[in-house]
Amino acid sequence: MDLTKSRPKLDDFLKTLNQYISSLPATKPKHILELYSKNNKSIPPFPQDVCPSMSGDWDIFHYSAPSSIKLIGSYILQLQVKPKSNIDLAIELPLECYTRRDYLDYRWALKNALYLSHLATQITKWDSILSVHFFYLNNNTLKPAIVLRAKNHPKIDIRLLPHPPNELFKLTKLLPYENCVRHNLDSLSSPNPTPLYNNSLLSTLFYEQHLHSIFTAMELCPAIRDAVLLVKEWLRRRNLEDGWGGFSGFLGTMLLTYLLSCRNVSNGMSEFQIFRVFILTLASSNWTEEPISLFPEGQEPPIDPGSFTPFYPVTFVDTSGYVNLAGDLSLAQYSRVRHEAQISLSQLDSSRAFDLLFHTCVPFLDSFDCVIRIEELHSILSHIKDTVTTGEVPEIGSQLLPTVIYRMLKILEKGLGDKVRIISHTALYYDPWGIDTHPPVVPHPDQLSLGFIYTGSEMFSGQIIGPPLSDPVSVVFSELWGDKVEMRRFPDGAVCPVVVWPCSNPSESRIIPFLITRHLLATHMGVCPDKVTFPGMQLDQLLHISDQSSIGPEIPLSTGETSSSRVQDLFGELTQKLFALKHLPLRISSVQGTHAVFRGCHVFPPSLAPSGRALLALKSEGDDPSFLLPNADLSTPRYTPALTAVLNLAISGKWPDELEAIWRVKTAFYLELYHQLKKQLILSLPTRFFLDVFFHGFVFRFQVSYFREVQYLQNYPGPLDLTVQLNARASELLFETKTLPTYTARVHGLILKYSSLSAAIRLTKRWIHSQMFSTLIPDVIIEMLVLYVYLNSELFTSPGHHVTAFLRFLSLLSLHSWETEPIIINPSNQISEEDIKEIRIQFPKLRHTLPPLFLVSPWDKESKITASTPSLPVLNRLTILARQTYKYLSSFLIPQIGSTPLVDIKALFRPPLNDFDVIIRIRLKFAPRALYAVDPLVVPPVQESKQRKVMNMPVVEFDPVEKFVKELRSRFEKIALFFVDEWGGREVGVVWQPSYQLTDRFRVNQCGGKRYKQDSQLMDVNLHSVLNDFRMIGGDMIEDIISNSK
Amino acid sequence: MSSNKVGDYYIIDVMFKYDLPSDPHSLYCKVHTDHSDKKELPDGKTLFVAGLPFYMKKESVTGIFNSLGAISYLHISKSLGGLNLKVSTKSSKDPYFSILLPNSDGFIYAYVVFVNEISLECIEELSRNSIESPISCTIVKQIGINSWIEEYKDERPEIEQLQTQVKRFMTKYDARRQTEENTVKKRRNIPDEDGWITVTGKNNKKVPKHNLSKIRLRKVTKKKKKNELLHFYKFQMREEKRDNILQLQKKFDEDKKKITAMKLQRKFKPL
Repeated sequence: MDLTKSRPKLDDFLKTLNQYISSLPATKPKHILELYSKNNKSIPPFPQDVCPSMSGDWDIFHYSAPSSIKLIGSYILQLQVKPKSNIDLAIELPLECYTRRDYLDYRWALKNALYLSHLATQITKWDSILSVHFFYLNNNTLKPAIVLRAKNHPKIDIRLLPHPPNELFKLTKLLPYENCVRHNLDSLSSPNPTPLYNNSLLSTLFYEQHLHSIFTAMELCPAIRDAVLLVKEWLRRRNLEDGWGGFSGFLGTMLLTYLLSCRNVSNGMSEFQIFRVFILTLASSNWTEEPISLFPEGQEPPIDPGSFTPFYPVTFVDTSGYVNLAGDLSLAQYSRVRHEAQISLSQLDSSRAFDLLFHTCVPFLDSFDCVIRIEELHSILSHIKDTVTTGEVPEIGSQLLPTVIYRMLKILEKGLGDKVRIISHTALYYDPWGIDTHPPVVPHPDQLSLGFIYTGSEMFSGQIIGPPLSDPVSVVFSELWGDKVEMRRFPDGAVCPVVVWPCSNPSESRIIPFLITRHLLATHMGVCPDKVTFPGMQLDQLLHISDQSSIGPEIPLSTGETSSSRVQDLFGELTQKLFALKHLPLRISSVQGTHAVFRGCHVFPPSLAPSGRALLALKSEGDDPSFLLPNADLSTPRYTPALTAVLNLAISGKWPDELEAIWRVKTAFYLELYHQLKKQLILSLPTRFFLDVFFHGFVFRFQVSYFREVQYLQNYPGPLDLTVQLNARASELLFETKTLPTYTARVHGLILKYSSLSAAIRLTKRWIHSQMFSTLIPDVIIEMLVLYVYLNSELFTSPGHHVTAFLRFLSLLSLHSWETEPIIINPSNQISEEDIKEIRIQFPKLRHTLPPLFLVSPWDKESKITASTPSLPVLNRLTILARQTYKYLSSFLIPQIGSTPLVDIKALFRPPLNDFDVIIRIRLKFAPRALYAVDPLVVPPVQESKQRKVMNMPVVEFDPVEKFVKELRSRFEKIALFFVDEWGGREVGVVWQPSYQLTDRFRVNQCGGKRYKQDSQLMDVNLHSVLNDFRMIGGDMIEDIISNSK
Repeated sequence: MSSNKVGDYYIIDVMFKYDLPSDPHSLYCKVHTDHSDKKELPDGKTLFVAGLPFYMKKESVTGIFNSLGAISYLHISKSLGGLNLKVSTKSSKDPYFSILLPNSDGFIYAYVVFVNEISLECIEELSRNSIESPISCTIVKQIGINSWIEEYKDERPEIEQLQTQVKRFMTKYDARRQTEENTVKKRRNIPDEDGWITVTGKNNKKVPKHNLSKIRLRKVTKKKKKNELLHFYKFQMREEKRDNILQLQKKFDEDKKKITAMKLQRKFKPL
C-alpha cells in the first residue's frame, strides 16, 4: 500500500489523535461492577461468559490519560502490504489503573475492557472520526482493542491496542506452567497451568520490544524489508494469515529476524535469497517439538525454550524469553503453512517461480481433497464447556475455541491415521462489533470447514484393523471408535477389533475420511451427525443416472466407475473370442478400444440395452438376424452407443493398391467375421464401413485399420473438391486409428494410477456439455485439460477427490492466459526438456497462426486436435462460465460472508438460456437421452413387438437431436452458431453470427436468409424465413421456437 | 429503380409450409449472361436464381417459373461456381464415397432455361406480383427425421446384397489386375520397334508420393478464394482496402486501450 503520499497527512492526524486522547479528563474512581453493569453508551468488550470474582482490593477503577501512546507495527516500519492498511497505536494504560496482582483471574482484561469502553465513548464524540468499533486482536478474546476510521482517511484502520505497563507484573508468575486463573477452583485440586492466558497477557507487554528487534534487523540488513514484503505477499496469496490461529505477517517478520540472528541470512543477501532461506526453514521446521528462540545467545534465558512445548502446539520464543510468539498459532494452520512451504520449495527453481509464489492465489478449497463443513459451532463450544476437564490441552477459561479445535484435530489425527496427510481448517473470525453491542460469543460464521489432503491417490480400504485383543492397546482402539467396533477372527487365529466402512466403489472409498470424521466427532465431541456435511458429495448426483427412485443426498451415489469397468471386462471377453476365430483370411493381431468408455471417460457408461439381457442373441445358426429401424412416428428408441474399437490385422502383402478395392476388402472381412460369429451364436451386423457386434447387451463397433489407407486417401486422383474431402477424411482416419488407440491406452493407465481421475473427467465433461458446448469442444480436449490439472498441479498435490479436480479445472479455465501460455501435457516426461523449451520459445512467435487453445501432448505435438475447435468465441464464453461457476461452487462448498448461498448444486449445470437469441425446444419423444438430463425426464418406453424369436440389433447411435443440430450446423454455419447438450438437452440454443446480422449491400453469395429493404436499399436479416427453414428440418420434432428478442 | 429490384436482380417472394404472407422467403433472379458460350445455358433464355432454400427440388422450382413459359432445362447447383455442369464422376456413384459428407449449404442456386426468350421479359411482372402476394410453394423432398432414418437404412444394406456387390467388384478388380499383369508380362521379352526390351521389375506396390496431394491442396485453397468473387470489381477492391485500413485503425486504438488497462491492473503491487 503506497502510503507515501498520504503519510504527512496521516502523521498529522495521528498527532492530533494523540493529543485528543491524552487530553481526555480523568474520571472519578468507581466500583468495577457499577461500571460494568451500568447501562453505558458503550458496553465493555469483555467476554460475557467469563466473570471474575469481585472481591478484594482491586475493584476500584477510574479512567485517566494513558501514560504513553506509541506507533508500532507495519506502518512505522513501512512494511505494509496491500490491501490491508492498519496503523497500530500501542496505548499504555497508567500504572494507577492496576494493582500488582491484576494478572490474576482476568482482572487486567476486564480493566482493559473498561478503559477501552470509556475511551471509545469519548472518541466517538470527536467530529473527525468516522466510525469506532471494538475487535479482538489476533481474534484472541482476551485482547480486545479499538479500531477507528477517520473521516479524512476512510480506508485506513487505526487500531488502538491497550496494554498494562511493562514493569507492573512479575514476569515469572506468567511462565507457561503457572496458573493464573484461580477463582473457580476448589482448594483440593491442584491448579492447572494456564499457558494461553499467560501468553495473551505477556504478548501485550512487549509491543515495543518486538518493534525494536525488527527495527534493528532492518538496520543490519536492508534487504530484509523487501523480504518481509515478499513473505507477507506469499502468506496473503495463500490466506494463511487470516483469522484465528493464522500465521500472521508479524510472525513471518519475526522469523526473518530470527534467521538473521542465527546467521542463516547474511547482510549481503538479496531479498529473494532471504525468501528462499525463509521457505527452506519453514518447510523443514518442527516447532512443535523443536522450538526456536530469539533470545540472545550467551545469556541465561528465564526459561528453557524446550519447556514451552508441553503447553503450546507450536513454540517460537521472543527476545525477552517469556513470550511465545506462536502462542496463537493453531496446529492445523502451522501444518498447512509448512505444507505450503514444502510445495513452494519445489517450485522455487521453476521458470515461473515468481508468478507461482507471489501472483497465484492458492484458495483453501483448491488445496484440499475433501472439505467438510461443521455447522453450529456454538453448540460444540457449549458442549465442550460442560465437559472440559484436565485434558490434552490446558483449560484456559473463556478461550474455548482453541481447546475445541485442538481436541478435534487430535482425535481426527488418531482416527484418520495415514489416510490423510494434512488436516486444516478455514479461518475463523470474530468480526469487529459496534461499541454499544455485546461482544460476539462465537466466531463468525458459525461454522467450520475442515480440509483434508489425502496421502496417496489410490483407493482407501474400507477396513481399519486394530491391535489383537490380547494387546492392551486394543482398549484404546475400541475407545476411539466407540460403537463402530466389530470383533473379527482372522486366518492366523488372532481376534482383532475392526472398523468397517462401506467401500464398494471408488466414489464411496473417497468419502471414507468424511464418514470417519462424522463418526468420531459424534462419539467424542457430541456433534450431531446432521451438522457434519460434505457438500462436495452432492455433485455425485450429476454422474448418477436417476433411473431408480430418488435417493437422499447423504447416501453416496455410484459415480459410474464400476459400470465402466464392466464394459471393459466384456470387451476383453469379446476380444478373446475374436482372437480365437480360425479360418480368417488374415489373423487379427490386436484389438484396441477407441471409445471413451474404454478409458473410463464416458460421462454415463452405457448400461444394458433394454432388450439385451440374453447372453447369446441368436437361438440357432440358421436364424436370420435383422436390425431395428427407428420410426419417425413412434418415440425414438433408447440410445445405444456404438463402442468403437480398431482391429489391427497381421501384416500382409496382398492388400490391393486401390482405394476402392481396399474398402471392399475391408467389407469382405466384416462379412467373414459376421459368418464366423454367427456360428458362435453372436449377433453381428456387417456394413460397408464397420461391423457391429451385439454382445451381452452392448454394441461394439469394429473397424479394420490398414495403415496405407491414409496415404491412398491423400493421393486419390479426382476433382479438386473431392481431394479436399478425402484429405480431411485422411487426417480423421489417422486420428481414429492411430492417435486415439494409443491415447486411450495411456489415459486408461493414468486412471488406474489416480483413483479420482475418471470421476473428475466425467464430471468436467458433464459440466461442459451441460453448458451446451457438445461437439463445439471435443471430448478429447476436455479430457486432456483435466489430465493437465492432474499432471501439472504445481502449487498443489494431485487431486484426491473429483470435486477438487473440478474446481482446479474451473480455475485453470478462468485464470489461464491462452494467448501467452501453451498448455503442455507431459505424462512420464515423454516430451524432452529441449522440445518443451523449443515450444515455449516458438510459441509467441507463431501465436497468430496457432489455434486459440494450444494443447501439446506426446501424441499430438502440433495441437492438431484443437485446430478447428474450440473457436475463440466458444473459448471466451467457456472462460466466463467457468469463472462464474467457480465462484458459485466455492460459495456452495464453503459459504462466504456476503454472498447468497447456492441452494441447489444442479443450478450450476443448468445453462443460462436467455443468452441465446433463439431457443428451439425438441419434443420429449425425440430425445432418447432425456433420462441423462440434469433434470431428467422419463421417456415413455417404446412399444416393441413381443412375438419375436430372434433378438434384433438395437437402433445404434441414433439421436434425432444430435442429427438435427448436425444438419443445422452444416446448412447454416454462416448464419448462426448452434449449442446443444448431448446428454439429454432438449433445447438447441441459436446465436446469430455477427457477420450475418450486418445490414449490407446485396451480394449474390450472401443473399440467403436476407431480405431487401426498400428504404435503406440494403440487405437486412430475414429471421422469420430462417426460423421457418429450421422448422422445415425439424418438422414434428420441434415443440417450440422461442426468440429472445432484445 | 423499381421496388422489386436490387441491382440486376429481381426479387421473387415465395412461401413455404410454415411461412406467413408477411414474412416470405426472397429469391433473387437475373437474366443470365455468360461469356463462355455454354450450350446448356444460352444467353437470353436463361434465368439465374439465387437464395433458394436447400430443400427446394426441381419440381418446386418449376412450379414457380412455369407460369412464365415452358422450361427446357433446369440445373440446380450447390455452390456459386457450379457452372461446370459435368460433375458426375465415377466416385459420385460409388456408395463408399458417401462417408465423405458433401459441403451442404442452406441455400442453393438454379439456372432455368426457357424455351422462348419472351418468358424472360415477364419476370418483372412476376416479381411485382409476388411481392404483393407471395407465391406459395410445396415441398416433396424428404428432410428432417425421415431423411435421417433413410440414411440409417442406407448405411445397413442387406447382407447378401452387400456380399454380392463386394464379390462382383473384387472379381472385376482381380480380372483387371490380371490383364494388366499379363500385358506387362507379355511386353517383358518382346523387343519393340527399335529392338529394345523394356525391363520391368516385379510389381512392387508403390504408394504415391505425399507432396503431390499437398500441391493440389494448395491449389484448391487458391481456387476457393477465386470462386468467391469478392475482388471482382474495382469498387469492391477499393472498399475492401478502405475497410481494412479502418479496421486496422480501430484495432490499434483498441489495443492501446487494452494496454493501458493492463498497465492499470497490474497484479503485483505489494507497496
